[in-house]
Parts: sequence; structure tokens; C-alpha cells
Amino acid sequence: MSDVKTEGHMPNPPSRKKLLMITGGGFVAALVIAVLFVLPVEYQLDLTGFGRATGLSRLAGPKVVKIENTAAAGAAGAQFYQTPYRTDTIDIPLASPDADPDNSELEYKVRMKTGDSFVYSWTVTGVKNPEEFYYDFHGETPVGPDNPEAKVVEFKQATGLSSNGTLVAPMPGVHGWYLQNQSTGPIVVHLKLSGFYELVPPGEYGNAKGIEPAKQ
Amino acid sequence: MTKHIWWPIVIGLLLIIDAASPAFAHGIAGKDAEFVASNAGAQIIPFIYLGAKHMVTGYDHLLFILGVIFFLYRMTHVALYVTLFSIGHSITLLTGVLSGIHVNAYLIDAIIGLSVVYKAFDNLGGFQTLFGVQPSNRAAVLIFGLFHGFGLATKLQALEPSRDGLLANMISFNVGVELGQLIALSIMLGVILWWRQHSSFSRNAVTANALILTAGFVLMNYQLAGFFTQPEA
Repeated sequence: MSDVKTEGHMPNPPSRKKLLMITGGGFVAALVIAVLFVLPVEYQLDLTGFGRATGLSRLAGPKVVKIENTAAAGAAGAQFYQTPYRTDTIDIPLASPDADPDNSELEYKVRMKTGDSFVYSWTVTGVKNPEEFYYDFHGETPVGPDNPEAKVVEFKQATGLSSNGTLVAPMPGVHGWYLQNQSTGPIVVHLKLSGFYELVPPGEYGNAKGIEPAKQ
Repeated sequence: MTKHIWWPIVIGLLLIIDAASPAFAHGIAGKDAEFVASNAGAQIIPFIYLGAKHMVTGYDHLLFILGVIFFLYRMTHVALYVTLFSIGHSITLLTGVLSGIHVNAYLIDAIIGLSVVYKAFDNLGGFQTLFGVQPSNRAAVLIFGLFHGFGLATKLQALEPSRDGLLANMISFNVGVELGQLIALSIMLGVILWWRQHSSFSRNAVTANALILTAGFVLMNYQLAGFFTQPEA
């Protein structure tokens, strides 16, 4: 046990006074660092205004708020829409992640206002094992002039080769799928969509990879 | 001679900035998270990689290990302490994930920050000087190892890994954590051993530990603020 002394200790430890100064100084310095720098960036908790004054707060990006996946409040059985009705057939090719990782995954979404709805059905061809195709059905309200916080609503994250359903948009924004090919070959997702929504022009948010629907 | 005095301070400051940097916010993020959430079945090598990556980029674990080895002069001691730390965090990582015990991630990370403060304070001879007692270093590294393991467990649990192949994946992750720790340890040990050959080591050891202590307090503040203001992920 006499060994304990030589394990992990400095030969000439600081005096009591110096130790108290180090510990107290460290505590105060840490508080200052946390309040001025860390909290504004990590939590948008800008107690002093230092984060906004220095632009640190911008590092934090917009706040993302999770919205519960519930039906739009007060939805009645019959709904009537200003948004024109449309129907689209969309084929989305995805490369294998081994051959072309950049094109093995993408997001495909459509624009909707709160309460807008669609019926959808999709199947995947080119892959047999349902565990090799992953999707994340979700909606987002991106940051905009009247919307300082990004909002996300999660519908379903799963693997599988087909999915059918309906969506009533619980908030405005883009709603749709993150699609990810995890198989060893190229695949195609065949999506059929009908209802009250607008397509996102190729390259814009929600359709960054520029997917176009089949000509009617 | 005085020209050497600055560089341990610079390293300490880098550690603090690193700890405070959002780019290094320490969880498992982005594509890695997608991978874990979307993969069923045993994925040995990917999970080893994730574990190793988590450790090599894990400033909270690294600061603690740096504190632990700072004044260990014998390689047998280094091996003993690192083994105790590994036993501690493996126990809670495996039992935590398998039993589904959920600990608040902010609280656990705050305790991990406390472990950094504790070790730096201990390195400065704080317990002996202020209280006239010396808590066992070996027990401390084992016990804080248990908390570090809970921290590792919460990071994996937050991703809701598939039950299918969970045991194999968990063990792979754990193996990766040990490999990552070994890599990081080798680098830190190399630097410390080299530094000890210079007179600046004994002159600046106090400063270095004061900076580690400060970084530990920053981590504590960061996580406690999260605990009190953020909804649990």
C-alpha cells in the first residue's frame, strides 16, 4: 500500500492557498466559458447576449422542434381543399451504396399546407431482402421568414419493400420520405401519389436530387 | 528555457476549446445514427468501428484518462489503471443496454465531467492538502469507470438499436471502445513520456492539471445546463 503514494501523485503538490486559487479559479473560468460560449451554441441559451453579439448563436443553427404525429386538430370526416387535386407516378432510382454512395440515398418530399392530404403507395424493385431498404417517413417545416424554428414530425422509420397509406399534414412544409438503398445492387422505388399537394421543383428543398415525375 | 513554458498551456486551451466546440458535440450522429437505427442483425465490424470512433473523439473520456495517467510512472500501473477503467465501463455498458436501464444522458455526462474534475483535483494533491485524506485511486478509477460506461450505454440506447443481434453488436461496440481507448492512450502516453523528459513538465504540471480541472467544470456546466433546460432526447 506504500505504493499508493507514488501512483498518480505529483511530487510537489501546490500549497493549500494555491490549490484553493486553482480550484476556485477553474470553477469561475468554467462558468464564464460555459455561459458565454457553450450554452449559446449548444442550447441557444444566451443568458448574457454575448452569443448574439458575437454571432456565436448562429453556430447553433435554427432550433428544431419535434411535433407529435397527431391528426390536424378538429379534422372532420369530410375535407375541402383550395389546393388543386393532382396525381403523380414517380420512379426514384437508387444506386448501391458500394457503387455510388452519394446516389444510394435521398429525400423525396412534396409541399403541403396544414390539413392538406395525400394517398400514397410505393414498392421497391431490384432488392429481395426487405431489411436492405430503409425509409424514414417524416415532415419538416424549414426555417423561413415567419418561422424561426425548424419543426420536424416523425411518421415512420422502418425497413421494408412496400408501404401504403394516407397523410394529413399536421403542419405546413415538406412531407415525404428519406429513402436508403442498403443492398448490393441498384434499385428503383415506384411511388404513386394522389391528393392535395405540390411537387417540389428539382433542386429545391425536399427534392434536392431533382427527381421528376413520369409524364402523364 | 522560458520559451517552453507556453506549450502545455496551449494544449490545455485546445482541450477546453475542443470540449466547447459544437463540431465535436459528443454523441453518435448523422449517418452513423442512421446506420445503427436501420440495421438489424449482427454487424460486428461496423459496431467495432463506431465504438472506437466514439472513444477516439470522446473528449470527456479522454480528459479523464489523461488525468489518470498524468502521474503514473510505471507501465504496470498504466496497464492496471486502464484495465480497471475498462472493467468499470464495460460492466455498465453491457448491463445498461441489455437490461434497458435508462439513465438521463445529461446527468450521466455531468458526472463524467465531475470525474475529470475529481481526477485533476486529486492529481494536484487536493484531497491530501485540504482534507488530509487520500481516497484510493484504484477504487476511484473503477467507480468512475462505471459511470463512463453508463454514458456509453445512453449514447447507444438513444439510437434505439435493433434487438436482433443486440448482444453481438453491443460486444462489438465495447471491443471498439477498448481499441479506441488503446489508440488514444498510446498517443497521450507518448506525449506525456516525452514531456516528462523535459524540465517544463515539473514546472507546468500544476498548470496542466488546473486546465484539465477547468475543462471538467466546463463539461459539468454544459451537461447540467442541458439537464435543467432540455427535454430528454
